[in-house]
Amino acid sequence: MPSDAERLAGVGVAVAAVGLTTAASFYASRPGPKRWTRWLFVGGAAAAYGAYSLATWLEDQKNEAARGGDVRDALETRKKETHRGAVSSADVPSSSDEIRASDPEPPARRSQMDQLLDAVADGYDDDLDADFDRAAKFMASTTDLRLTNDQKLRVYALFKQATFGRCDQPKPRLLDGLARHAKWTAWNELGELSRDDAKEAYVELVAELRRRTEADEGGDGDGTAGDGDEGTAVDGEGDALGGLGGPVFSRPRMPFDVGDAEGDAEGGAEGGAESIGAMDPLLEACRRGDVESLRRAANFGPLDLRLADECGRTALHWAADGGHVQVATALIKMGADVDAVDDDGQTALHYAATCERAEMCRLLLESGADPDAEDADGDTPNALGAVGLAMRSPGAD
Amino acid sequence: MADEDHERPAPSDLAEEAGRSFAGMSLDDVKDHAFWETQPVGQLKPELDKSGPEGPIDDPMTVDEVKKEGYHLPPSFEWCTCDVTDKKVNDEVFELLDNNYVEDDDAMFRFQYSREFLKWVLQPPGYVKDWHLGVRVVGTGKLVAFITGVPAKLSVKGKKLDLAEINFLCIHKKLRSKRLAPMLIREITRRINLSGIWQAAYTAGVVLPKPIGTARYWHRSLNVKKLVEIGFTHLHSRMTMSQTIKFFRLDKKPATPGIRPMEDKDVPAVTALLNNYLKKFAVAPVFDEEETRHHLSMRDGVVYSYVVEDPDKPGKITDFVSFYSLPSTVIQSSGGHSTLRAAYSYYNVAGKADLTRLMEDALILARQKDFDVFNCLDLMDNAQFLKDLKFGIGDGNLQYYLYNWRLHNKLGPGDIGLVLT
Repeated sequence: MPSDAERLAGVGVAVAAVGLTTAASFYASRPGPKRWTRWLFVGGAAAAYGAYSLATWLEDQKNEAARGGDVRDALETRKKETHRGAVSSADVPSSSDEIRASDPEPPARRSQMDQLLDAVADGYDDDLDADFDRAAKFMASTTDLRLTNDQKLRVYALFKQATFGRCDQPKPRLLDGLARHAKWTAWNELGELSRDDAKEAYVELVAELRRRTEADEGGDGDGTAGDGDEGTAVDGEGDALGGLGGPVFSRPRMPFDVGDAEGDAEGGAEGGAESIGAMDPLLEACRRGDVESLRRAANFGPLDLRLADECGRTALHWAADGGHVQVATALIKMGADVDAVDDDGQTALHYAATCERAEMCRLLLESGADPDAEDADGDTPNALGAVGLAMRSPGAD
Repeated sequence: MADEDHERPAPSDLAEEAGRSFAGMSLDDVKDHAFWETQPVGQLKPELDKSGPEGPIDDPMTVDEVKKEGYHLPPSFEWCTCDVTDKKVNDEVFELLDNNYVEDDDAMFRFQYSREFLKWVLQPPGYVKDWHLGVRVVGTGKLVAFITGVPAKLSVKGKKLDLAEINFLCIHKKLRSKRLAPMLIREITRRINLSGIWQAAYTAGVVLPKPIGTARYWHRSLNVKKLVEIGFTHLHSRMTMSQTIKFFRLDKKPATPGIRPMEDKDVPAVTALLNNYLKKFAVAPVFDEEETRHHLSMRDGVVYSYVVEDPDKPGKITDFVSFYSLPSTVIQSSGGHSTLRAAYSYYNVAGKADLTRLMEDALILARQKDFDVFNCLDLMDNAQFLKDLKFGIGDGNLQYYLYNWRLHNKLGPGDIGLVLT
């Protein structure tokens, strides 16, 4: 095995170099003007580094070669496979040999290219969001899947975890019905599973269920009755007969994606929200009104309050939008610019006025926000009612 | 229909009894089907399905053959007829439904039919008081269960059927294990049969044997801020409230020239417009003028109806839109909101106007009436406008059923022209 010999040689050189260096340093530490030992020290270290680099390089080369070989083998195999119908059966054993040979060994060390690809893939969280939305849309629109209760519960739990995060609902009483209880349990059991992980699991599960249904439909049709029976158990709650009559209660399956709709209607002028990566943690905390996280983050050093998202919205914009007065107060104290504008020229006060957040309007106005700042459409917070709202706010004088 | 007397429990009932003893809860999936498999409805299990031509499933019966006495209830319960014009009874029915009727899966909202609504929907022309059936506790007289039928005329694939529309099957939460639901259905069937009516139409959220069609709810935000605050909907994580409010903003006034509230003088024109439109659907009601007057006249807080009077030809009614009001209690009230005000699309006919524009006006009118959300099933021609008008798909399916009427193929939502209240 030449490559092993090479590696052995590399290691040998390295060990020798390290030994030399150690010896040199030993001599160098002795008193007296022994300049040459210092050169030996430096030289030894350089040699050791060189040997290490050589060994690494050799190994990369080897992996590289192995991969190249894999690709070539695979191509070769495929060529043979496609010819196999025409060629005699004598080809078969050799071709299967090649298949075995081309089974890629897990590379001993991942090349930089692999790592780079992974890093790039990690950056595509928005792909996950898009996949998730597609899966959710599919589940919302389909009536064809015949799911067992366990599957339904799993779908339900992952959807909840992916959209809301950890289950924060109070545990339902048994009186509320078995199904509600089962759903709560399924969701709660996911514990601290991250929303992204839940999304991923949801996407995989939906894909798997689709595949199974398609397979079922292709196969025997006798699962219908049984599956139909199971279907009512979750949906039917404890009183499947109890809701017989007119309408049923329904609500939107998923948050409305303005970007989606505008994308449809206006040729994607706004761009879908799902084409953007994960939200900055600071902005996310302000969106949620999480004043604790904000304070903790501020304890580690000054925050970049000018930081804006893809639409030019700052932390203060998000806080104003959600009506999170505590967060906005903290941001203003930290020096956030109350007149910062988003890509449409709107200030936090525009947001507060549009959302009719009286207390927020008051806070911003008292902090010096400009009620007459014009946005891209020429609208001012005042025209949107900011001043009137502020005067009606409970704490107003 | 009224197939057997249940004084002596059938073996299947005994099995149900055993199954239900678990924690006092009913395992209804099993029970329901055990019940529905005895009924003249399409069956989910193919081996149980009686084949035959489209039409009645049961052999024809006469009124004389119908059992004259009511079915026996468990001791301590008794039947009653609920006269909703009686203020006290109306209150009792309202309270039973208000506390025990349809909820969402997360127990956040529960339908709250108003007293006025109940009076309206239960007393159409020709209504039969006996079909407003209640169960009371012997002694205390407390109303604990309810079911209703009202007469209606339905066209099913061209055949005109006089049938009953079944609604408001509601059982007190603490009595869900008492096998009352099948008893209520049997008893109301008997009472309806006594009037010589052998078919019924009803809807439900669950799949029972066997839906003739399925429609899906869609929802259009009118007051998105409130809808988010009460948890009816959620903001997309990258959308600001401000952006979302702007996105759902509607014009202040409807745009179709000549649109106005329906008046009594419009009844003949609306009746003609509706019947002409509805005949294209496989299943749809047929209204006479009295029924149109009852079901579709404007009643504040209950049903809202508008006509378009052609500005060029005064008196000529070209289009019609309507929606009814079905609020829900916000069970865990938040942000100071205790009621979700929902408008439900009812019957709409676009004659001269474009349906999408007409429905946008309906949204505007509903917003003017302070509704928070406009709900709409994807039946009739509704699929045409849902996306354009920013409706979002809902999590609720509505299954449509016919009792004692066989259809060979399941209908698509676009074949359904019936909206129940």
